Amino acid sequence: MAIPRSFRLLEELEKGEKGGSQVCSYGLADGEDVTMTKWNGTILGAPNSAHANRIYSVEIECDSTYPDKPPKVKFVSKINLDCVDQTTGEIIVEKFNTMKNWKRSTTMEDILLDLRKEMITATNKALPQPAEGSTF
Amino acid sequence: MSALPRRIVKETKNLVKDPVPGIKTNIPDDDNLRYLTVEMEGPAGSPFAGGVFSLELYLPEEYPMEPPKIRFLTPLYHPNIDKLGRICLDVLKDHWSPAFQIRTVLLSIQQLLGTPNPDDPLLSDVAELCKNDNAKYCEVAREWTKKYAIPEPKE
Amino acid sequence: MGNTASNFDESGHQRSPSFSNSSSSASTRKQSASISINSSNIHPESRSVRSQTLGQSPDSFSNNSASIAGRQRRSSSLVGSLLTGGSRRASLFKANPGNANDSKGKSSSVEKNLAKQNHFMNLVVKFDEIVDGGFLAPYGVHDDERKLDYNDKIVRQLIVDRRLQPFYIPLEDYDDYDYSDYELLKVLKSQLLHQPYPENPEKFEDVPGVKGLSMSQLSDNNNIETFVDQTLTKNEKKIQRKLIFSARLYKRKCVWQEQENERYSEAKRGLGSNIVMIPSDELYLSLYRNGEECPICFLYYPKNLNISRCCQQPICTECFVQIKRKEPHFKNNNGEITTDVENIRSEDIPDSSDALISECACCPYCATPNFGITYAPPPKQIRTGLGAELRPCEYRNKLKDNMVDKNSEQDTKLITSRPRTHSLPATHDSVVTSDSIRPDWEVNLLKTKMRLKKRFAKATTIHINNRLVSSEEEKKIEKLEEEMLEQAIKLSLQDNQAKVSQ
Repeated sequence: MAIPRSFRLLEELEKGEKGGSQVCSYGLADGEDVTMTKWNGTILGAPNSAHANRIYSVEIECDSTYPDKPPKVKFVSKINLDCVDQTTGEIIVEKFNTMKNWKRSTTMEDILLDLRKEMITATNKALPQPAEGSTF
Repeated sequence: MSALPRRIVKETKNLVKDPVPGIKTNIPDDDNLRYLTVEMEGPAGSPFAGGVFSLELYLPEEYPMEPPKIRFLTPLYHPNIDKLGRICLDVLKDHWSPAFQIRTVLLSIQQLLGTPNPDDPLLSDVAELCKNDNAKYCEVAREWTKKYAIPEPKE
Repeated sequence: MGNTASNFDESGHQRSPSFSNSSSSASTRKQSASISINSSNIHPESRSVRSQTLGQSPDSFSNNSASIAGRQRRSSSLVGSLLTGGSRRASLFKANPGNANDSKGKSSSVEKNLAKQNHFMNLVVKFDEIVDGGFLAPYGVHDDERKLDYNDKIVRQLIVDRRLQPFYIPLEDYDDYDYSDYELLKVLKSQLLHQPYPENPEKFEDVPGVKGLSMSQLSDNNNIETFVDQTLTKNEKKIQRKLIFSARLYKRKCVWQEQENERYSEAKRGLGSNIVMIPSDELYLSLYRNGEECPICFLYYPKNLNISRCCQQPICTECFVQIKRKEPHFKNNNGEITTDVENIRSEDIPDSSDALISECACCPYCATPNFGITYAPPPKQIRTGLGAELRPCEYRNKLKDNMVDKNSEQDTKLITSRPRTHSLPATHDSVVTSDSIRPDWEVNLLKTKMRLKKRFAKATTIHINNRLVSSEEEKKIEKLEEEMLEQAIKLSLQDNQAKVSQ
């Protein structure tokens, strides 16, 4: 009897519209898409790292299995992280805990915030980063 | 809540058994009485007359202390209903009272179709048209009704 | 009936002055104390907690705190203690306010946790805290914890004073069956004291430091830190600490209630203490034979539900305690409200903290502001349990027959004062308002304002000179805190006086 997909997505949309977190944002790719499938997100690069002051765009796809299953997430902006496929920009679920251990209560905002944390893990911090503004 | 509250069982069963005229409620999944689909007839004399609009409704955990969540699935041209079907209506927000029922809410929504409130709009362009050129607004709303809410007669 | 207190000693239960004192208003304060002490002998763990609370006074805080922390926390911890009320409030006022400077850095969160724990203990339904066949804690019709944040001491006292209907165990499907007396009794006697709690609520899923721990480990807040993920940021750690505490408290509450259920079922079998508090069959029947449906939860309760002061509509106590003010919020010109005060930015709201408002609860039926109810209790002669002469097991119909007019309808019906047919002002003596069971709303509003002011001031200063807080701002904040503190104390004193004068 958990909240159905549509109302869950509307809740997330409302929170995103209000601008909950100051270090990430998200919203529908198409404001008139009643199925609420495609979303755009941005993440402000983590401070004290090569990502500081950068803004990363991601695409999120919530298909009919969301939120029982995690959405598909793909970086549009080029970024070098262990959990990001370096040819497509897609998140490698096996390497990203938040999506690997998916819980129904996890939100898109949680994904964006946790991706931001990924930027400053020990392994990722050492990785060289592509030029700012390049895309996959 | 481990078991389904008495009120939800009673209210939803009654809605199906004894529907509000012009508003049909279905329980798509008998195991989930918190999720309902609704078919609402556009009120007579409004640009929505003749149309049948579908909605979905969810009774959150906190219901009835919190209002039901509800949205249109059929597109309609109305200043207080946005493109995602979200409804701007006081009883669904801060004027909610636990003494209201699903029945009351559905009737208020049906009434809103006939009496738009362009002074508290969700869509400002639709509200402008509704206020400044009501005939034009009704025409567009009728067109949408025809396009989305009246099933094409089959040959 | 004579003085019944001695009988209680025979039954092996702690002597309870509230019985011998009956319902004389002079003993009101005492009664409240006796109720809470009564509740604490249920499980050894809670007793120790209780004595801790009672024993803690500001003078007992050690001196080892950093003076900065002392300054910053003084206000909040003092306000916090004012809010918890009861015996500690008294000791607080006796203490020299100068002492507050020495209070331990962590005292505010420790106090908050203790207050929360005591609140949860008072939300446990205990079979022997029984008033006219109903209880002092909710059955759990609405399980939203955030809305059970009413002042439990006030509500318990109101119930003992017969100003609010007790929390009766609701019946689900009374109207669907034509119960015989035997069947109805069977249903009533098989009821639990509280609706079963969900085993693993989603919000506490995967919270560390809960699973596999014993009750005493769960109650030891000092070991929380060992379960906190040390790689988290300072703020995240704080959130996790809170979460662990809440998850543990939830689990403990479930266990407390289970223990109570166990005591109850033993008492029903004639074992254990306080078996005299089990209602007689006649009491059960007289209550539930004349059920009434609450129009909000659709459940059946014994007759004489609370009645709204304005439009005389019935509402059960379970639903009544859920109705409260909205959290402090902003309202813009379009009437839209922003309740997410914590995430608001100063630039969004001009002169923000002063625009913060709190709107009173309205009647769910007729929307009259300042929602309040009255309750018409059973006549004195047939009252049972706390604050009454009769014990629930002693209730007999013939007792009632001897005392009241025999012509009055069925003999099982409780005779009560006639239902009110006119509205009453919120200030009327017999009216219990939503605000009166959450009297701290005003202090909460001030506290939220203060938090906002502080944050905005900090944000502005960071913006200007990239330092934490300039000395000027610091002075300003300090002054503000003093003002807030004075205000809070003033309010609390008024509140105290109001209660004493009642």
